[in-house]
Amino acid sequence: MHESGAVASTGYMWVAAILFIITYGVVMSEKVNRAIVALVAAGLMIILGVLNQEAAIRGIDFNTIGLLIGMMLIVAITRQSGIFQYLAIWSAKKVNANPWGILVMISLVTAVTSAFLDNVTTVLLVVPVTLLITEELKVKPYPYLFSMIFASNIGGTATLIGDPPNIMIGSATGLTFNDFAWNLTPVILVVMAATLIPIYFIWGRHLRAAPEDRQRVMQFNEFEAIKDWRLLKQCLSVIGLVILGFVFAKLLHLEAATVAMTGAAILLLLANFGHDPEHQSKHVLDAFNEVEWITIFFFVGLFIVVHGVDSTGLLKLLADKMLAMTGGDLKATAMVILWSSAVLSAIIDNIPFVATMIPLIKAMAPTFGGPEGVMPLWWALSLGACLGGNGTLIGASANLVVAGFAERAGQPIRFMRYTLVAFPIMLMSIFICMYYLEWRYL
Amino acid sequence: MTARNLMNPNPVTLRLTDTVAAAAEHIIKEHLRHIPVVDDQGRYAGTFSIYSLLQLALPKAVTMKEGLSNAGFVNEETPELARRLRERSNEVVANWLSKDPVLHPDSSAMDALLLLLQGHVSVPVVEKTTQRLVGMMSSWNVIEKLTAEKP
Repeated sequence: MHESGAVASTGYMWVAAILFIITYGVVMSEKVNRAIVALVAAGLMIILGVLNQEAAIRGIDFNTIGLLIGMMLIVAITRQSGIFQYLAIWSAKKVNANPWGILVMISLVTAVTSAFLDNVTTVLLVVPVTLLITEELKVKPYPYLFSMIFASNIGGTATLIGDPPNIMIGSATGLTFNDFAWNLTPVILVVMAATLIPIYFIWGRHLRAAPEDRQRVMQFNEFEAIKDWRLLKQCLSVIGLVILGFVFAKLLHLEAATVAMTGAAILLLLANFGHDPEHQSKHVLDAFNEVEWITIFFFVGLFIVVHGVDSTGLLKLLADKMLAMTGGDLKATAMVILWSSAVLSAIIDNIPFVATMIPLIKAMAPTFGGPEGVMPLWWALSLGACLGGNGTLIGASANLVVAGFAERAGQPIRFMRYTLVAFPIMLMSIFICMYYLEWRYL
Repeated sequence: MTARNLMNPNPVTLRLTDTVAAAAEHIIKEHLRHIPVVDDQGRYAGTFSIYSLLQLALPKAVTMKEGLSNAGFVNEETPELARRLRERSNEVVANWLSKDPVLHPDSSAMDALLLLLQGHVSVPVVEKTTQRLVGMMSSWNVIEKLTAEKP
């Protein structure tokens, strides 16, 4: 048994590899809840002797877990204020309820909100308002929903906290909020603008609404969407402080999880201040119930499984194979990572994929001159894994949430119809990223 | 005593192809809250209710599952709500059915009372094997029977 508590031998390597492949397969099949699969696999990693319990716990990235829980709590409280609906209505009115203008504005609101808050919550709260607006305008909601899917995944790519793959990469590498914003936001702005071009030519130029229908939307009172002004002020203040915390995290020697969890705790304190203990307990419990515990425990299990595989040296072996394939060339390696992560993320869950790729890229660092040398590879992984989710309806959780709404609204988004348009647009976004990476880093 | 003894054996019914306008007429004229809907073979297909009518007057985004929890920002007056209802009045009731729990003719009076007590204003009574609608039971039917019972 070596230092990390793992037993480094070919036998254990096989055990870990088989367990890992089965875990991936079962998660992909969606027959068993993914949290159950990851936790069972993590338990087996320990029981079968690949890791001991201490090593398994060391494998869990608590910075990622803390950041996720903290942000989920902040979103859970913020959503009660009605701010998401306010923004959607405000943006529709800003363009005089012009159908194409609304599509652009709602996409931008979705993208910006997704960059700072969870994608699923964003679409969960913005889609119903969008459906209401399209119903009033008597236009088909499909282009709006399609565009929102793209906007949520594109926006989420721009920041450290926008999408789980970025949270994982940031936590594992020490890359900060500013690093992500500086390196990814420029290309994301281009990708967002470029994505709206085909959407305009396919649907946007045909969108029309009668003046009286537009007038009905203009009569919406966005201020009525705010359910609790006091709570809204508290939420916006805390979100502002949390973002500042992320920006100055390095200077303050703070990890992202500390910033997010402290922000969540302060918001809970403010939102419950002055209420009786019984009321407080109910509110705190409601907020805790909003945390996506399935995702959290999926992460916990997955971190242990990947750590188990990593500890046996298997990922190092795979990294060496990949380097041999690309001839140790940074540009070729970045392109392989970008394209493979984009295509794979369109069809499989990007979280286990990124969890596997992180130790793999770390193992490549010595070949490229240390952690600084592999920087382009992290950006390639982030862009590929996050934007790849746009390729199919199952590529990201937000896509499925939007599809669920569309179904209930009687305007279903069919898998093939979506993929036929979305996959080429996703490939276009990866092309843009490819040229960006080449121009800026390679 | 079973559901058969407590039910109304001749309830007003609708066909799947009846329009929302026809259903609304029954609901308003006869002050009904729930009307069972049957297919050509007389099998119970669902219930069209006064709540379906209210739902039809509102935008889908408000009434759908996980839809808007607050629609106070929509400044609609009664003419707009009436317009929406009017626009949908030619739709068939089949699109607006709710599937409520049912009783069977031999369900016990206790089961029937419990179901009504759980907030179901009226409950369809359906034959177990054929799924044919044989009656409707409301709290009124039960109370009338119980108060008429001699000591």
